[in-house]
Amino acid sequence: MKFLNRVKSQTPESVELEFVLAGLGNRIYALSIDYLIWSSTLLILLLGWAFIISQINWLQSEPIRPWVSAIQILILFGVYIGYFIIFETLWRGQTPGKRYVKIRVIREDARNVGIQQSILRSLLRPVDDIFCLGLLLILFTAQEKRLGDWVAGTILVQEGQAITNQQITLSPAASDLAVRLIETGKIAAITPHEFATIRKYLYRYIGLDPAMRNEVSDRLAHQLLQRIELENRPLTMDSHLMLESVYLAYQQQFRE
Amino acid sequence: MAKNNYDPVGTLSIGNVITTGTTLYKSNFKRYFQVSLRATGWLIAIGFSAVIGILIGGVLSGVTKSWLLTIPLGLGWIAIVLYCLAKYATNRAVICRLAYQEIIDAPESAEVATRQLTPRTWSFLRLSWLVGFYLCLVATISYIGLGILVVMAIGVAIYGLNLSIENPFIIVGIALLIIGAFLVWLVILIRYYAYWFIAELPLAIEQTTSANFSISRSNKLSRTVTSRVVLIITIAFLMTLPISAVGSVPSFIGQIMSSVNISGDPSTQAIGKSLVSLGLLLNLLSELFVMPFWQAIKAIVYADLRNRREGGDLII
Repeated sequence: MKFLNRVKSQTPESVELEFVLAGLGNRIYALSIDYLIWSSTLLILLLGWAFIISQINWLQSEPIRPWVSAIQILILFGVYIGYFIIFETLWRGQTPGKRYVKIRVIREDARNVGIQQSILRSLLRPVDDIFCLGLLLILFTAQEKRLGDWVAGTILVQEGQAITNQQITLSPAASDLAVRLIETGKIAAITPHEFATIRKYLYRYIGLDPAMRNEVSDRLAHQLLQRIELENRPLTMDSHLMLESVYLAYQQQFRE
Repeated sequence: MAKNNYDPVGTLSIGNVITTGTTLYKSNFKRYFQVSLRATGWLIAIGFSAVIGILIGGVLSGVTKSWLLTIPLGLGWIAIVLYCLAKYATNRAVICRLAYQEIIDAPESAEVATRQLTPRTWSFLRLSWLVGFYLCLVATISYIGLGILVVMAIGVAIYGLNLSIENPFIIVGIALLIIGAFLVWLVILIRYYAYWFIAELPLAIEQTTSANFSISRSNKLSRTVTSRVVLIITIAFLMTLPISAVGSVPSFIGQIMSSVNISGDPSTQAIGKSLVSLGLLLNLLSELFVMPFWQAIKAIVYADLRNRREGGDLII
């Protein structure tokens, strides 16, 4: 992740936080999803409105018609401008697209955006879209801000991703073995960085090419057993099971 | 300082692939652009060789009053074109290699990368032809298949169910069916493009000189995550669209002006033709800038897929 820009921001309580900026790719991805939802909403509204008017006769009568058009324009304008404002305010800086892509708008001091920031960002969106001005600004400024972000004082950051044990499938035999591993007292030799690698391995195990799985687990297990001085493990033990139990043992070693 | 755990999985999300591509291109702009310039130079050389060939051919046939000499001249020209195309394909692959080496923290200079890939020049030409041929095959077969399906559906609706062609719902239905079929066709094409998207990389990085091996390896790596690759291609396409479209606008207008001859006015045709050549020039220019970005994206996708499928980055 060394190719992603980071930014430090100071909260009003003088706590320094570091964020990974959303980046152009995530922003375009999120915007494409939002524009898709937004334009289909507008299309459905327009078609629905036309259908309603065609079915109800008195809506077509002379004194009512200007009012009907006025309401139609108001609804369209509301959806056009309101989509980003409403979502960003209610979902604390996220729209459906941003939520899916896991990015968020925050203020420069890491607080949540309010309606004021959302309105400024939304009003300047058309300006940013003209001649891809926003795209160029995001590409060539250090904090990746489009015009709307400059004026509103906001930045877009990536949301941290949490991995829970539910996302990693562990075999039942691993927990028994984990207990035995903790009893050896050598699990403490594993560093957090090494634990993170085992977690990455378990999380990605399903996606690995079946032909490569054994090779990867054997390599990791071999390196790990050297670390915890258990090279003479029982030969029957499967490398993958071994890594699963080390993962559990590391998590459970200080619990009691 | 509080720090979030952003990278618990160690693989790149779709958006981060694109962002990494732009960062990589931005920080290596001069190096990649020089190679891109060289690649485009080989394309321009094809045009030059054609002009020179025609001149020589003209002079020779004028002097000897015989057309027989044009045969060796034509064959020679074909050989030159093949050589230029092979050089073009190799230079494109050089950018892929530069980007990949940068990602794995073993950067190479353009000279070293070029020297490494020069022995595989003809394999790169073969590779680009094979991929192009396969894609044409997929496009033609799926186009014909979908066309038959659409015609059958319309036939069943009109003759089988006795629906009138003048019924407005039927007309809308047919229009939607055709649009839908076109979208399906597009999706099929992009999916197959995704299978062979990183076909240059194994040939550029791994110890192989076989274009076939490189293609099947690209297929194998992207098979299980095709939708991801499709999305990456789509977003990268959307991002480069403003630059790539610059050349398409004048050539589109120019084509209409020179082909649809309303007034028969020769000056309109002349303007149309010059617009087409302007569009061609702009296309070449935009390709010059956009190509390294695509090559960087390919290198990142390749690196990420290798990590996902082969776990090469999982080391204690």
